[in-house]
Amino acid sequence: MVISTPTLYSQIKESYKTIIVIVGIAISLQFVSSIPIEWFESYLITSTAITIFPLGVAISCFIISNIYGGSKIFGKSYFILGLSYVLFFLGEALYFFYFDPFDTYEYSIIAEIFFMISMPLILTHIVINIGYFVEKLERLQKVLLLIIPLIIIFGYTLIFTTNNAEIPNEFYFHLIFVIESSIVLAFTVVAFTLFRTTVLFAPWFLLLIGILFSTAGDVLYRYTDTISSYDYSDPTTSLWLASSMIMIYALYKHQKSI
Amino acid sequence: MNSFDRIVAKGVRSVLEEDLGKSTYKKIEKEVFDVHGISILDAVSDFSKLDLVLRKFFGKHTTNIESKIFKKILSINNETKTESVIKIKDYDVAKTIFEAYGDPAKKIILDLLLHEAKSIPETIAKSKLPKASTYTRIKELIQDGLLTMVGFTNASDGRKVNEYATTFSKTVFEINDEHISIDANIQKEFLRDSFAFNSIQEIKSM
Repeated sequence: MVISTPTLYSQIKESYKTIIVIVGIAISLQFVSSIPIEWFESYLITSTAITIFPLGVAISCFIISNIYGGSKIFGKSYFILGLSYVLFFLGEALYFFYFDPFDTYEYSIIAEIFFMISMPLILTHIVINIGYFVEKLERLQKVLLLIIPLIIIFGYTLIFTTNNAEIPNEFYFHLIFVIESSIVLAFTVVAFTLFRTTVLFAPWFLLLIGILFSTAGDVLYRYTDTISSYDYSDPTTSLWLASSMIMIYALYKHQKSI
Repeated sequence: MNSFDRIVAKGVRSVLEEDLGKSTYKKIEKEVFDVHGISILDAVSDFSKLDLVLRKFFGKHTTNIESKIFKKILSINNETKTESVIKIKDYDVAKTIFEAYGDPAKKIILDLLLHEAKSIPETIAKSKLPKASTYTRIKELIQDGLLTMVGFTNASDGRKVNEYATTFSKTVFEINDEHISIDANIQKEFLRDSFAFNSIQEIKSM
């Protein structure tokens, strides 16, 4: 078999069915939480999925890292990505096993710290990959790194302040996560533009979709949590779940491509 | 194939494995075989072939990856009109050279060809070593890039035969704990068509 560089069209054609199935599963899991069942708390299915899926991504990352034999670029970067998803899992697990069942959120800051640290780790993963393949970014890529976070942060702040007369203190706390997510998205977009001419096009195309979903989920969650209206039936749930599943699919594609 | 690129070949393998992992290296190796029908070590020696395959994997970023690989293997320390002093930093490459100079028979051959180019039969005759093993060692030195073909001469029976000289005109070994590095003088003439050397030169001039 002789390698050829994939195109956007070929990737969409190859992956769209899997992505549709993943989105279908994610939406189903979101709606399961609002189905009234007499003998069972249906939301538990959704919350279990939200907790377990990041662990699935983490395990996939560690497997990939091991496949690349702990090499300096792929081995190391996927190990770091795995660590970030372990932190996601730990944060979600705290909510699942402690905060939600006991309805006590006074120590939820611990979970939030896990989430907060996980973002720079994702960023490290992306930067390691970008750094190996390019010496300098092009002007457009530098602009993207600046403009994507600015649009998201400014848009989020504008929508929030327009829809809410008062700005609660939590707004600023949640804004930190919005900033983090938007920076991660910007770097992923730049990485995608860099890898589009390589055999890594497919995994980075999927990683971009995964990160796009998780950023949308994060921003939506931060908004709803600031105004204390989040529950599992929010679209945030399906965005997060779809993101995790797409990430696993992207990792599978990565080790297949190179 | 350029002798200096042959020397560097082993380093390319170790750097690729170290950076991207053994599985990636195996995929590149398989692709080299599928496209060119040769081993990756041969493709590195004839670097344009490996370059073609790497471009299929890494597109326009290949040049950057290649220069990163070569930068890890060697650096140009000094240059005169006729010679370049190259520092070989990669362990596998340095070890191959070190072992060649450490082998008494190979050392005799390298000393014989240091100041004057000779044909293989002439070298065997002058070395006063057993014929068969000397021939094998000369072949190994050519394979490892430590001997460079510099021209032709007529053998005693009138046949036209290749003349060889040492690739390096001077070698200084530096051994620290388990690390070996080498400062080697090499004639510029030998480097003219070297892919590795020219890549490093390109980075230097950027």
